[in-house]
Amino acid sequence: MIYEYEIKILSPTVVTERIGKLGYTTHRQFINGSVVRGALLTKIYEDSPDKEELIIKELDKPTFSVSPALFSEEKDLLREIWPTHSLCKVSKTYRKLQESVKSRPIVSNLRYVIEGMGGILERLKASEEKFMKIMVKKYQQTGKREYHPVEFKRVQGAVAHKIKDNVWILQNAKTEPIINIALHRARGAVEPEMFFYYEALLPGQKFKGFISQKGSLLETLSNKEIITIGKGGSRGYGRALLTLKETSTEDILDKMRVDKWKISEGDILVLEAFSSLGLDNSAYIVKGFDSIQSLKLPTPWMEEFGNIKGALRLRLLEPLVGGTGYIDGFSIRTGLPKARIKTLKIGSLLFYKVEKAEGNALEVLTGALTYGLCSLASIGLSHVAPIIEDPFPSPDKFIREV
Amino acid sequence: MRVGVVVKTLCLTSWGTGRERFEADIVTSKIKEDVPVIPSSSLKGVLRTSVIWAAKILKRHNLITSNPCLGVKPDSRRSPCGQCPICALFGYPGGPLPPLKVTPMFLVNSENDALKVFEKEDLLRGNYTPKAENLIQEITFIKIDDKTGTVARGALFTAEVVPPEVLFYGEILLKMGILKKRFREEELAEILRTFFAGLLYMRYADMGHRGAVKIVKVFARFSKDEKLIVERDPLISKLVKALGVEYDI
Repeated sequence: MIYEYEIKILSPTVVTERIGKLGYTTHRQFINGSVVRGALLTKIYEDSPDKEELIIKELDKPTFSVSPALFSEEKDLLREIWPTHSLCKVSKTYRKLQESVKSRPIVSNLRYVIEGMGGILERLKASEEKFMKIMVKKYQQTGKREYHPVEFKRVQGAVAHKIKDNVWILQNAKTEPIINIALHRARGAVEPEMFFYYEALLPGQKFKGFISQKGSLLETLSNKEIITIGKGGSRGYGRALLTLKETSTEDILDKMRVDKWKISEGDILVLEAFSSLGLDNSAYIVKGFDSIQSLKLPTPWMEEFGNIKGALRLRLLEPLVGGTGYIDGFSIRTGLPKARIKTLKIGSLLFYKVEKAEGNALEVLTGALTYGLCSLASIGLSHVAPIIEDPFPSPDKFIREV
Repeated sequence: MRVGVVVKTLCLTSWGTGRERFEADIVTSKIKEDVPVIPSSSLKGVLRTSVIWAAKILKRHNLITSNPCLGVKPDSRRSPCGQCPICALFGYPGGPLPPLKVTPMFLVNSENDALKVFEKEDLLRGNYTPKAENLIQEITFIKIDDKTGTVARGALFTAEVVPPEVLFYGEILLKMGILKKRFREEELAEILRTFFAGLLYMRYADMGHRGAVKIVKVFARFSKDEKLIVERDPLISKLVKALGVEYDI
């Protein structure tokens, strides 16, 4: 069962990105899948504490996959919201693209890489040169500095919204600082050292993502539930309205506009890390990306979600385009730090050569997006989205539209 | 269990945000321009302090058996006990999920409005939007130097304040299922005694910056099981009666 979920923030929400000297900073573009999963399990436990055993079992043997919830407002996930990939660039200058709103448009080199000749490295080089050439030419023609290539910077893993054909802009959720203190109970004055700074998402904003389940745990929830996400739930922070809407592979393909695409042997297939990509080993500790050099889809994890009528065998073409990072965690339940997971960052691109394609390959690729590649998908990692046609405009389209 | 609390400001009050703006040095908590709100953390803090004081009184009269702890203090090595009714209600670092949750306190026009919000569960579902016009006032004050008896240098402040007689409404949620799973019946009764005594003690608590706030109405919605627990324990029944709780199943 695949659901598209929407989270509407009802009270200030702190989804910790990092804890620095100043205090807690929050994610502005997405809510991690692990946070959403925690909120769901907490909700199930709060409503029926008798299900504690089931929840603990879920922690050891996950039965559902949660993708990160991307900042959406009223936009449609996949059709109008997409995480920017590693070949995207964003203009440093704000432009008036919508009425009364200034925003920064996005441009991508991916089309030149897909249509290019030679190895991936050569194609990357050529695409960058092409981008420079087009932009410099436009700059010389118009004399506007905003078209100069130096006025663009790389943007990977950010949430982009489509505002019209070939125009995508960078969107961040709005936040506000919350300052908390602790009072001395007898004096009624501030306790020394008890000063806390949080950055919180403002109420009213919406985030969207996918949840897939192979068990029945989520069936205890209704279509609309009030959940608590992030920090300070008992203090009233993080109240949110969760809406679950059933969806299907066909709907997702329709949104990605790839329903008529055919995959054949020898093709180059581009996969984008829709969430941070970490593949587990038996000990749940990620050591690297050796296992994605050669990818057989559906993976055993994906097969557990149902009968996928198709198969793909892919071989990775070097290099990976993106970056690596680490995800650290801390379990509130056990009070212990979690295993550090090495990941490919959101928006990283993987170029694969299709070695074998059988049956409905598009269904397989949709499965990779909604179910994730491995059990780490239960904590919001390892979802990949196929890029059949680059959603972002190439430089020539960009200069026509913007 | 869901408890709705209506409070009234008795004097000029503000709930600091720790921020400042061009017109004011002390800015009160707001959801929109001119719509003040009491932050949920403030309600929880006041409730916790009240529950601590109430627990001390109950312990002194042997109405509860466990010693109430005061939580964490930065300058001491003492950490929460995890055993007393306060830890059971409010949780503690590294502990299990606390059963108590609070909402912010929103502006209401009257007690009846608050009752409507309580009945429709609008606050929980995020359907309630308070309205206000020019409610927030700005006052300027000074600090007197103790030595000279005159105005201290640079001590001129402007603060945003909420005037007296303004009503705010918020809710406290107590997930009884979690408590029932974790505690025996006698322990549960002690926790509820502490909770309702704390709620009653909130009448004497200060809320906000130099403010005084009075509880004017308490609503509660109990399930059948919860009502049984309340009625079985004479002290809880008395406390609920003293609070003026309007029962609802």
